[in-house]
Amino acid sequence: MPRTDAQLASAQDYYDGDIYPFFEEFCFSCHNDSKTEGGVDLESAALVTHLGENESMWERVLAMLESGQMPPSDERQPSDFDREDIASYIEEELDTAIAAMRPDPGRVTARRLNRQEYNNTIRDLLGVDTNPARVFPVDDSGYGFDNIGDVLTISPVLMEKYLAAAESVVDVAIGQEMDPPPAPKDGEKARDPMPVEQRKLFVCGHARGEHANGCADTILRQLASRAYRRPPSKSELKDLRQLYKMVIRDGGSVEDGIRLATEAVLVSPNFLFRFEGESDANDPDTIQYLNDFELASRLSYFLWSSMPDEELFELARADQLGDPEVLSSQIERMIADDKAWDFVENFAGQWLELRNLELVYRSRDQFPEWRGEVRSAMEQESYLFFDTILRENQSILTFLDADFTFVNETLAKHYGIEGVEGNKHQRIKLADRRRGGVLTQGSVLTLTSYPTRTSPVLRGAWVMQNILGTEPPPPPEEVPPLEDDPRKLTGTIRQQLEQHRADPTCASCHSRIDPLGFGLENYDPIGRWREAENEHPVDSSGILPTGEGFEGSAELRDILLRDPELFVRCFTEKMLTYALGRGVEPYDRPVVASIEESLAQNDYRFHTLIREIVLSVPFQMRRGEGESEA
Amino acid sequence: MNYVRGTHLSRRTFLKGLGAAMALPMLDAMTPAAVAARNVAGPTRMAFIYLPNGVIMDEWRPEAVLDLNLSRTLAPLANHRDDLNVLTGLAQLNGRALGDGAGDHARAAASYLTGVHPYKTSGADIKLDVSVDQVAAEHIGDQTRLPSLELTLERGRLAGNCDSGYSCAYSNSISWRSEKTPNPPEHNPRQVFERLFGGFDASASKKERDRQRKYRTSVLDMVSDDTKKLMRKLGRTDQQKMDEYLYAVRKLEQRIESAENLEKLHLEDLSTPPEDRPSDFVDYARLMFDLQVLAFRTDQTRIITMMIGREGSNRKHKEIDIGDGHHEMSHHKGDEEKIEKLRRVNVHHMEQVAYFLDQLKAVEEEESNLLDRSMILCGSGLSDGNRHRHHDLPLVLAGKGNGTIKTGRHLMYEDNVPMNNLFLSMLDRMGVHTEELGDSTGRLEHLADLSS
Repeated sequence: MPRTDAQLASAQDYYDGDIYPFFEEFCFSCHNDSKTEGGVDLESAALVTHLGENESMWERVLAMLESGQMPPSDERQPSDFDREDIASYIEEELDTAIAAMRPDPGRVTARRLNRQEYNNTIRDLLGVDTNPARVFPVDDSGYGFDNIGDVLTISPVLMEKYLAAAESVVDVAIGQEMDPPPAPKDGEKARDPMPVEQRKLFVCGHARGEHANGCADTILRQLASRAYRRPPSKSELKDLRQLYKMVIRDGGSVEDGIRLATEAVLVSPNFLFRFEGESDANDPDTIQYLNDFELASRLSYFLWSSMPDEELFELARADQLGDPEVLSSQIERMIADDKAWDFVENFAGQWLELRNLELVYRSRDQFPEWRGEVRSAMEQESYLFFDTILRENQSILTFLDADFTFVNETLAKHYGIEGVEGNKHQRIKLADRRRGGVLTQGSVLTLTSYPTRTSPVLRGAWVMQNILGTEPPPPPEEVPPLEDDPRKLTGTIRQQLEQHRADPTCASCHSRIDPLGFGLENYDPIGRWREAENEHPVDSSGILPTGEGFEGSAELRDILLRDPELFVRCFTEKMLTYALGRGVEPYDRPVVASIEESLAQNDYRFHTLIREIVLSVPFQMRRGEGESEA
Repeated sequence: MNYVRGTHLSRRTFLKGLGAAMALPMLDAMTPAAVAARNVAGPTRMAFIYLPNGVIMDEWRPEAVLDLNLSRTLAPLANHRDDLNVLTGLAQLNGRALGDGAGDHARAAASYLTGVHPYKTSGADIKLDVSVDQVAAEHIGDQTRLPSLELTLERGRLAGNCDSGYSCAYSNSISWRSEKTPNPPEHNPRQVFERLFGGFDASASKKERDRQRKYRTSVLDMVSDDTKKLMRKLGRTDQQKMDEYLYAVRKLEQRIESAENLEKLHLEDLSTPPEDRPSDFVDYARLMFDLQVLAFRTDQTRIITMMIGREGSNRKHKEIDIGDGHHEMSHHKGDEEKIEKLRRVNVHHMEQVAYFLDQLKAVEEEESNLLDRSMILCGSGLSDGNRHRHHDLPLVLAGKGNGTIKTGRHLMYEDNVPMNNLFLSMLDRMGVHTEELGDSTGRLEHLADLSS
C-alpha cells in the first residue's frame, strides 16, 4: 500500500528519533562500513529507511534480534521492551515493502460461457454447429464486454434453456455420427458414414449396435476431459457411468446411455463455467500460477472464444505451457487460425460498439440511401480492417490512421470511391486523407449519429471513451440538457452547441467533448463525406483543451498520433479486460505500464500486445479471495 | 374465446390450435377441483406493464377528480372505464439523480418496481433490490408451476453501457430477484410458450414421459451433487455463483416434477407452439398478451411483468407510420409535431393494453372473470420524458383485485407519495403481507373505498 506524504514524514521522524539511535547504540560498533562482522554493514544500510531494498539482510537482522543472538551476550544488552519494539518495526517495514514489491494478479470470478462461447464450444466439442444459444437470454456486459465473470449470472430461465439445448445438441451429434447417410439419389455417389477420426463422441469407431465392452468408459472419459477442459476426477467419471448404466438397465442402447451422460456433461457447472482452483481459495496471500489446463482455456477463450484444441491440450498434459517460447508460438498459431475471427468480432464489435449498428435507424425520406447492404458493408469494413491489423501484426496506431481500408462496390459508391466492383470487400489504398482509421469509418460515424443529424457530442464522447480512455463527465445536476435550454437555440447543430456551452457551467465539460466531434463534421449521419450541411459550409475545425487547433479530421488524427500514449493505454486496458474477464483495477497499473513500455519499444505491434498480456502476472496467476492483512 | 380474430397466419394457426385444445368444457371441468384445493374465491393475479420514455402527461391525465373521464391518450380503454382507476401523484424518487448525474432512463426502469436507487456502474458491481413482483413470487410462487413470468416486446441488445454509465441490466429488466440478479425478460413468443408448457411432450406416451422425467431428474441430481463437491474448493464469490446455479437447478427440478400436472389440463394441441416473433408489431404484441392470458387462465403463474419496450427505447413505430425514434422524440423541446407523434405512440400502446384487458375480461371464472380477479398495473417510471420527471407518474390500475378495489375513478394522490405504498397494498391483495418495501411509508389509501 503506497503511503501518503504525511505518513512518510511521520515515519521518518519515528525512524530518526527511535530506530536509528538504537542501531547506533547497540550495533554499529561491529557492523559499520569498515568493520563488517558477518558481512553485515548496518551503518550504511540504516541510512536508508526503505528496508525492502535490502530485504534479505534485514530478515537476518530480525531473526538475530528476536532470537536474542544479537547483540552477543558479552556485549551490552537492550531492554526486552526496546528489543521487541525494534523487531516489530523491522517486521512491519519488511511486510509493507514485500507487499509493495509483490505483484497482485487479482482474482477472476468463475466465468460462465457467454452465448458466443457456448456456441463455439459446442461446435468444437461435438461438431454441432446449430447456434443453440440463439434462444438464450442476452448476456449482460460489464466494463464494455460480455465476458465478465461477475456479471454473467445464471437464472432458472437460462437453466431450462441449457437443458433443452443439451438435449437437442446431443440428438444432432449422435445422429450425425451414428446414422447411416441417406441412400443416394440417382446419379449421386453413395456417401460414407462419418469417418472415425471426425467423430467427437463415438471415438472407439464401432458402428451402431456393435459397441464393445469398455467402449462407454473410453467415450465418457474422452468427452469429460474435453468438455471440462481438464482431466475429470474419478468421482465425476463414476457419476457419468452411473447415468449410462441406468439407461442400459432400463433396456436402452449404448447410444441412449451415452446420450444421457452427454446431456449431464453439458449442463454440469464444470462445462458451463470456467473454474480456476488454488490451494486455499479464501487466503488472499496465496498467489499462485494457473495450471496448464487453466492457462490453455484462458488462451483459447481469449483468442478463439472457444475451448482449447487438441494441440493445446497436448501441451497442457505435457506441462509445457509455462514456457514463454511455447506460449509465443502458440499465440502466433492461434492468431493465424480462422477461429481468431471470433476474437475480431467479439472484441472489435464491443470496443468499437459495432454491435449497436444493428439498432441504427435512418429516416427513409431523409436518407433513402441507407439500406441493409450499406450497413453490413460498413460493419464488414471495420471487422476486416481490425482483422488485417491483427493478422499482419501491424502497429495498433493504425487504428487511428491508415492508408488502406476495405470496401465493396456498395460501400465504395457510398464513400465516393471509384473503380470497385462486386459484392466482395477488397483492400484498397486510399487516395487522399478523407478516410483512414476507425474514426473515419462509416460504421463508427453512423452509430454515433442521431437518426436525422450528426451529433458532435456523441461522437466526441465516443472518441473519449473508446480512443482516449476517459469517461466524459456526466452533466451536473440542475443543468438543463441541450433540449431544455431555456433560451431558444437556433442554427446548425454546431452553432446550437456553441450557444449552449457559452454558459460556463456547460463549457467546462463540453469544451473537452465537442471539439473531438467537430473534427468529424465532414461526415454526415450515414458516414458520407460532405462539404456542406443544409447549404452552409461545414466547419470542422476545433481547439482541444490542450490548446492544439486543427482543421478537419486529418489534422485531428495527426494530433492523436503525435501523442499516442492515451490511446495505447486505453486499448491495452480494454484488451486486458477482455482477456481476463474482469475490470482493470488500481493494482494492475504496474502491469499496464510495463505493457505500454514494451509496445513503445516494439513499434506498437499488435502481437506484442497480445503476447505481453498472455505473459503478464494477472493472466498467468491468481490469488486467494479477500482483503490481505499484510 | 375470441382467439381467431388476428390476421397473422402463424398466429392464427397457433391460436386456433389452442382454441380447440382448450374448448371450454374441458377447462371448466378441471377448474372446480383445482381451485377448490387452493382458494374458494379463486386466485388473484397481477401483471405489470411497463411503458418506456414516459408519456405526454397533459394528454394522459384525466380532467375530473374521482369520477373518471378518460383523456385522449386513455380513450382506447373506454370499454374498461368501469374496470380501472387512473392514479396520479405517485412517485419513484429514487429514480432521481441524487448526485449520480445523467442516466435517468436506467434509473427509471430500475426504481420502477423496487423503489430503490440503483448503484451507478457499467461494470460488475450492479446493485439494486428485489422488485415487488419477486417479493410476491417468493411467497406464493410455489403455488403455480412458474413463480413468475417476465416478458418484453423489445430485446435488450447493446454493447457497453446502456445509459450514461449504467449497466444495460438496469434498463433491460424491471424484475429483480435479488439485489444483484435481474430476471432477463423473454421476447420470443415460442420461447414464452416453451416456458409455460415446455418439458411436456404431448406426442409421447405416459410411459415414455415418465421415463423422460426420471432421466432429467437424474441428470439434475448428478450435477447438483457435483456442484456441492466442487463448492468446497471454491472461494466465496465463486460459491455465490454456484448458489445461483443450484437455485436454478432446483427451480428446474420443480418444473419437471410439476410437468405431470399439465397432463390434467389435456392440452394436446399445445404441441403446436406459436412461431417466432411475428413481423407485424400489433400481431406480435397481441400474441404476447394472449400468452399472458393463457398463463393466467391455466394458472401456470399469477405474476407477470412485461415491458412494451426497454427503458430509453428508440424503437420506430413504423406500424403507425412514425419513423422517428421513440427516445429521440421524447426530448421534444416543446416541438408540437413531436408531441403529437408521441401522443400517438402513447395511444398506440394503450390500444395494445386495451386488447389485453378485453381478453382477460372475456375469460370467465366461476361467477367472475379474469380481469376482475386481477390487478394490471400499466405505467412508466418517467412521467415527462422530455425532462425526465420521476414523480407524478402515469399509472393505470385495471381490474378489481378479486373484489378488493373500487374502480372507475381518478385517484389523485398528494405529491410524491411513494409508488411503493401502492405495491404494499397490491401485495396484501396477493396474500403477501409485508411491512416495508424500498422507500414505502405505508399502505396506499383509497383503493378499496367502496363508498367515496
